Parts: sequence; structure tokens; C-alpha cells
Amino acid sequence: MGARRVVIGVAFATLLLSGCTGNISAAVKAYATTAEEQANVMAIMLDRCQHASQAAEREAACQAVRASIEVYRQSAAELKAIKSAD
Amino acid sequence: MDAVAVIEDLIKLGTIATDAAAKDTTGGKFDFTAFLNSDAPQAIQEAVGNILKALKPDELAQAVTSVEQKQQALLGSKSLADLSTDKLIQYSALTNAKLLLNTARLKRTAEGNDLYDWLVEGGLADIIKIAQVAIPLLV
Repeated sequence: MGARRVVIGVAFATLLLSGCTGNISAAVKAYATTAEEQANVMAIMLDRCQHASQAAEREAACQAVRASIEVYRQSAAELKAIKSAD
Repeated sequence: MDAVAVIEDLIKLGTIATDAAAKDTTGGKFDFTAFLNSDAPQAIQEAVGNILKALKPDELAQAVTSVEQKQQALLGSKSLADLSTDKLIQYSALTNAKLLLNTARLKRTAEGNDLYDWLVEGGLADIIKIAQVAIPLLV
């Protein structure tokens, strides 16, 4: 039983480390590129939220901006907890 | 691996980790890796092992690329500002999915329990919320 646990422990450590072989700086760059894109989309969406001619269109755009802000906030908060593997 | 399969795997992994954390009676911060290495039933160990094999950083990066292809198809030859509001909302939902996949890639690349902790402490709920909007656009 003890030997089985050691084998399992080594197996999960290997699987987790298989994630660490990726380059964290490349992952950060990909994240930042998407965050920048999301900010650009939000800027255009905010303009629709404020200036679209139809009330329903304005409301849908406002709702999309709110959803994106929440995703942005939560994902940015997650960055604070990252432990570098590099 | 396509984005839908990756999102489904993240939901499966998050559900397993969240369920284990909810049943934990040891107190303090739940350590999913320690649970896997000691108390976890074999079926859970195998399921998590298979998901981790499939959820490598390169697979997550590939999933982002597949979302970008959908965005490009939505955009066609237009600029973002020229999209109708309906299409812009769809594009925005795909961007949200991309940010989530990039967050998962970072968590998977980082050391230790980052991926599990993220899923248990709110990541799973975020993934489900985004999946409801993004998956119909990705299939």
C-alpha cells in the first residue's frame, strides 16, 4: 500500500510538472495580448452601449461590457496568485 | 485539441476538485494534490490523470488558436468597429473565452496547486458561466 502511494505520488508530480515545461513568459504574453484585445472590444462595445440608436441594442451592449469587465477583473485577480515555474 | 473539448475537460477537473474540497473534513485550506496522492479513490486518480495529460499548456494554446479562427470567421473582411452589435457581442464572448483559456494556461504552467486552487475558488463557476455563452459559438 505504501509503495502504491509513492508510485501515485510520483505519477501526479510528473503530470503536474508536465504543465511546468511550458514557458511561463509565453503564457503571460498570450494572456496580455488577449487582455489588450478584450479592452479594445470593450471600448467599442461601450460606445454602442452609450450611443446605439435602439434601446434594446444599447442594453445588450451594456450587458456585454459588464460581463467582460467581470471576466477581466476575475482573471486579473488570478494573476496575483501565480507561482512562477521559471 | 479544440476549445470545446478543453473547456469540457476544465469543467470535469473543476467539478472533481470542488466536490473533493466540499467533502473534506480536515479543516484549513484543501490540498487537492495531497488528496490525490493519498486518500483519493482510484477512479478519481485515473480521471484526473487522464485530464491532466490532455490539458497540457500546448493544448490550451491550441484551444486559444481555435477560438481565434472562430473570431476571424465572425470578422470576415470587416474591422471590429464595423461589426453589427449582435456580432460584436458574439466576438466579445469569444474574447472572454480566450482570456479564460489563457488564465488556465498560466495556472497550468505555474508551479504546484495553482490550477486546482483556481478551479475550486471560483474558476469553475467562471468557466461554466462563459461556456454557456461561448460553446454554442464554437461548435
